[in-house]
Amino acid sequence: MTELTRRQFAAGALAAVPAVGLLGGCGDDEAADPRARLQALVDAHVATENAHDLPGVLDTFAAQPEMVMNGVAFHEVAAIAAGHVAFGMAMEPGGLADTRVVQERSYVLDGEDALLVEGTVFAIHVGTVVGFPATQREVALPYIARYRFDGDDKLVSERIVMDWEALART
Amino acid sequence: MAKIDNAERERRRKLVAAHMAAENAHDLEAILGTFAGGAEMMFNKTPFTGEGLRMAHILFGMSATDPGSLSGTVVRPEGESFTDDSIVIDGTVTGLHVGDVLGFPATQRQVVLPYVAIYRFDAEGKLVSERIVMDFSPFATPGSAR
Repeated sequence: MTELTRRQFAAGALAAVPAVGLLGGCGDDEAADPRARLQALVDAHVATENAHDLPGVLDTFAAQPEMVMNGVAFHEVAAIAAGHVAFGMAMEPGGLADTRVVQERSYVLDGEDALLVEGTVFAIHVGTVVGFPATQREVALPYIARYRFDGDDKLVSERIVMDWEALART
Repeated sequence: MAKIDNAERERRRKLVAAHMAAENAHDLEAILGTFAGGAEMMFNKTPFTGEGLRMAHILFGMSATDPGSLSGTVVRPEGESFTDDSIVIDGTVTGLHVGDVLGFPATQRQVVLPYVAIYRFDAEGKLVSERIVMDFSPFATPGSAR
């Protein structure tokens, strides 16, 4: 039982996950379509992460944001910045390099100004990150993130569960 | 503005509560009975169907009769949201790590595994899709995994 399950999990973890063309740059449609607006906002946030543009990433957040990663909450902008550096989303070196965030599915959350996104973070594990030392291997980290925005289109809450199992392998 | 009415929200709440209650009772047949035929569980990007659903739940200690790699497993939902057709639950799974998981040997430690799950039920109240991301890194001690 264990071996079959292990193979199934491994097959999924190693599978290349194709990028799915999500909405973005929807222009006038955004005002009329909440989904288009939310997706465009998330696309803009992810684009700054993929450009490793830390000031750009931070500019997508509201003044008093919340970020929750695997149950650990961060409220200080400095802590949120440090988290993005660790995951290779800045020009300065972090524990991951060549980081690329790929969105795969998204869902509008009913009655909330929020979008739920399933995706994968791809990167090379070049330094210690969340306690796990570098392996120099490419890792694929599945995630589900809930992005909630305010009336000024700023990110007030980003809550993520991400599987770090690939980082734990030596 | 909410599009999902209260009756539909309550229907989904009750269905997912029944599913999780069966998991917490470690009643494997009841768990499997909440799934529709042909249901798929996507777990950290890995699909499970049919017999795979049974094995995955056993691995997580959700069978009273078949030992898994966790024991004393408890599912603790903490938050909920709704999409057009699903209910989204975030929470933790806790248990004692008593067996191999993905090559990580038993540590005999209590692990806390955060997760988000997206559950979609059909008109008959059966679970047709369960999509989960759960952090498995608590199974590892840094530097100890293969």
